[in-house]
Amino acid sequence: MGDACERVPHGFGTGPARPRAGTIPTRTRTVRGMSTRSGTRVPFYRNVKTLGLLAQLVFAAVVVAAAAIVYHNVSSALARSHIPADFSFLRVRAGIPIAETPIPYTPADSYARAFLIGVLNTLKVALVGVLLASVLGVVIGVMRLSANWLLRQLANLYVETIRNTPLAVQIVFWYTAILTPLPPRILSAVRWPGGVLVSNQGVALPWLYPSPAFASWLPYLGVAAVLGSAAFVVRRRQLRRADRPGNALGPALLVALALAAIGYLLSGTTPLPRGTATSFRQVSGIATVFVDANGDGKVDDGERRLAFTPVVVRVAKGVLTTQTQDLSESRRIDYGRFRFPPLRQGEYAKATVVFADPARAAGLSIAYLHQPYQGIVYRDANGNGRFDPGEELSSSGATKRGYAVGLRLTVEGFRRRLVTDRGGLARIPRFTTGAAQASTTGGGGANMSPAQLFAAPAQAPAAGEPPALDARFVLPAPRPVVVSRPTIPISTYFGGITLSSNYLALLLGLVIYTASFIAEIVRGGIQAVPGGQREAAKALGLSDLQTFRLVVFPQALRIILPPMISQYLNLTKNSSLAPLAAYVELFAITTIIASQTGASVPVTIMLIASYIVISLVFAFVLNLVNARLALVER
Amino acid sequence: MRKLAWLATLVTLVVGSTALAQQSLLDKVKARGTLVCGVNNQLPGFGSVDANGSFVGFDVDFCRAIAAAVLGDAGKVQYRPLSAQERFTAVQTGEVDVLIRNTTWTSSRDSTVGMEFAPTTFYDGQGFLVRSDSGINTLQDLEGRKICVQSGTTTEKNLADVLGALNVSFTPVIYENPDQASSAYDNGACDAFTSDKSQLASRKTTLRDPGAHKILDATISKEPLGPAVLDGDSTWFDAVKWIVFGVITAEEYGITSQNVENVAKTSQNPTVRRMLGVEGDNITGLGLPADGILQAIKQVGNYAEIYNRNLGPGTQFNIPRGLNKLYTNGGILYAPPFR
Repeated sequence: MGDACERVPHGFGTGPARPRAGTIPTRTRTVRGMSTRSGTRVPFYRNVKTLGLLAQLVFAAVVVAAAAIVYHNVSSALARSHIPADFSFLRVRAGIPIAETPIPYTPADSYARAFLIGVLNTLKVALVGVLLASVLGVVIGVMRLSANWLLRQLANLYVETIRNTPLAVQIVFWYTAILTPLPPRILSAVRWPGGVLVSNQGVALPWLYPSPAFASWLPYLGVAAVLGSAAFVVRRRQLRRADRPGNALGPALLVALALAAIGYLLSGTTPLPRGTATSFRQVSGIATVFVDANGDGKVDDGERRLAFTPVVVRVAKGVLTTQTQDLSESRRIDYGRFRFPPLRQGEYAKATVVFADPARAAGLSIAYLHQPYQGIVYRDANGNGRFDPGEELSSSGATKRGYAVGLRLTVEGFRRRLVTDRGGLARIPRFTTGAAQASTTGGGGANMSPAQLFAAPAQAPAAGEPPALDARFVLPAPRPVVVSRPTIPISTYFGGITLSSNYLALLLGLVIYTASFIAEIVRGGIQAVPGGQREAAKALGLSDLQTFRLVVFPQALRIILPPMISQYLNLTKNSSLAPLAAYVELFAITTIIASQTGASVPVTIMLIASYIVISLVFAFVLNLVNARLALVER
Repeated sequence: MRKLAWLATLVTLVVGSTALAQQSLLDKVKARGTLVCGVNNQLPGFGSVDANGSFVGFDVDFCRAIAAAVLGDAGKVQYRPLSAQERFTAVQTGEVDVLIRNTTWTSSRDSTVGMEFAPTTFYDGQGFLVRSDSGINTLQDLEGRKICVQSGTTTEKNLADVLGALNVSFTPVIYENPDQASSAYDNGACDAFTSDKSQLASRKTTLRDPGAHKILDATISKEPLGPAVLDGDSTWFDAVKWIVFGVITAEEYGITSQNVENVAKTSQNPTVRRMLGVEGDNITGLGLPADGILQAIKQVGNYAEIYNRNLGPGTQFNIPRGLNKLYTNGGILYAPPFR
């Protein structure tokens, strides 16, 4: 009101000055909203806008120049020190033996394929590890908030100890201190119910595989899938229309499974392709199931091998040689123990262990730990016919070790049902006929030159090969899916699926370590849910478990998920500690390739790129989940 | 202004570092006054650390011989223990002057990896260490077994190649360092341990019960072990090469660390006189001081002395010389003449 309104505010916001009537209009130039009436242009070195632009151009030029100089520097230095800088090494034959290969691999494949195996092995550990770590982390996190004092303290102890110990130390602990010395040796493997074998080489489980007859089941599976999804859609529409809560997935799965089962029964057994034969190499105990196109009984190149095919092997009479391992589990060197490849009861009609040289073995007796393949040779001092501690053979004396007197396990009526592996091979124990011992010069003579070793043809029988064993192979018509049960033909697992002790040690280390961090995140998330939510739930009459499951945890999940993503990425990157557990994954393969080819720079670039891609994919997927969980403000 | 100065410094540093070094390593070593030698610290007999903390071993002695020849003092060596994975990178980047770490001379290492191999000091082969009572006597018996092997060496490649050609399938367990591998073998995690036979002999002595293990007769590869330097520096390469030949030639002429001074004064053999620098410019022509080879033999010894000190009958290893004898004794050590 009054004078204040009429006063024209000066300064900002008035716009360009209008020339008053009667004055000579002057040229004005607006610089940054302010106008000058001087009529001169601001020179470019004072013009703020142009200066800004120039500065950016100069900076860009400097960055580009620096990058070019660095690039030139690096490539000339690499060329000077003869470090290969291209990727041509990837096509070269690898020659790296790898134990765990998710896809078929032989050392004759290229480095690129070996690298791929490394990536797959890393994913194998990362995906399973993430799953298990989350489960364990949530459990421990909830335990830390438990009302039970003991549970709370246990969880505290777990988190504090594990979090503060370096991961490398933990992995070495699991592998070197626990999984290698503690579980029984492979030839004394423990058999758990269900056909699971446990030893210090890892855990072997029975597993399902698609047999050559799988194709006959596929149409039924297709029908089951189609009808299952139809059921899903129908049920979901039903529920939506009736506005009832419920899961449409259950009925759909039920329908699909029922149809698949019916299809399985209907498809029955399918005979194997015509001309399927078995080729048996007694020296190695390997039988190959293949389609003998030219009928010559030998596996030629180009003849298809049948993977995951059931085969029953029958040996009328065979002899096994001992595979004693000297150091016993109790760290006491036991010279009298003998071990043969394990046999299951029911696999043989009769089995006896005899001394090959009874004269030399006078006064010695045999006590069985596992009939008939594991036992102790002892001298019955007190004549009670039983093995008593103190009666073991000592290290001194003529009969130093059990095998020195020649132990032979004669097996009659051996029968074993096997499923061939990915390469169409089935392995049985290396029986001999028990005739005179084969000469031991084949393939390993003293100082044979490497050239001579390669000259020995792979398939033709070498001089001195033992007389032929009477081994019969029966190939029953398989069902679409076969169960492969693990066995121990010589001294490693065959059949089923093997979780090696290397893999388990790495997994245990990673899971336990990451779970401790996830537990803290979960605890923080749960505690961050406002207490009023709990009180309201209680007021509504929800039980503790219902409160947690329906009110607290879903809200906590939104807070938990972003830090969890970084823990998952940590787990993936920490899997590069695998060489400590002798597990061959991406980092281990990269080190091997770099030292064999000298191409450390390209291979490191590939390594970094792989980890970045894996982490980015992880983060992308989890961010999608995060976005879906975000609170939708109405 | 401060930002600009920082930027300018950065650019100068980057540009300045492109300046190429043309000096030979021989001159650099002489100027520096010490030899930087890449060695193994985990292989008793070839390269390891003794109770006093000093490096000893067959390969270490050759480092000392080179230092004695170039610098006049066998003690002027800086040892860099290197793992199998990083040894070539250390040479390529110039971190070590010479690599004497039981490294096999192969064509790929000569070419793509960019190494230059001095004469072989130890002719070795790859073999297998198994338990005496495991029933493994030949390569065929390795069928279906677990074999421990160290990564980053020629060993794993040979293993896959040879056993693959013999159609023997096995399960490999690959370890980063040899200590882990041999302790895993000792614990029963694998049935056999494969490496160069000299390494196996050395490792066998560190096992819990050495008598319970044996090395198979079969040798599945050629492993000529020797010093390696970086490609492209022929002066340094020639110097190292002829120091090794000098050590071998000394054994050929019966020159030992005890009598080398005497021999230098009294010998009339022209080859010996040329080698010990008494006449001619063979040694100075290599860039070494005239008494280079003499000092190497005096302070470290000839080949036989080096071998016997580290791997001979008086040591716990007692590796028979086999191919490592002079060509006149049935082996294949043969040095070209100093002429």
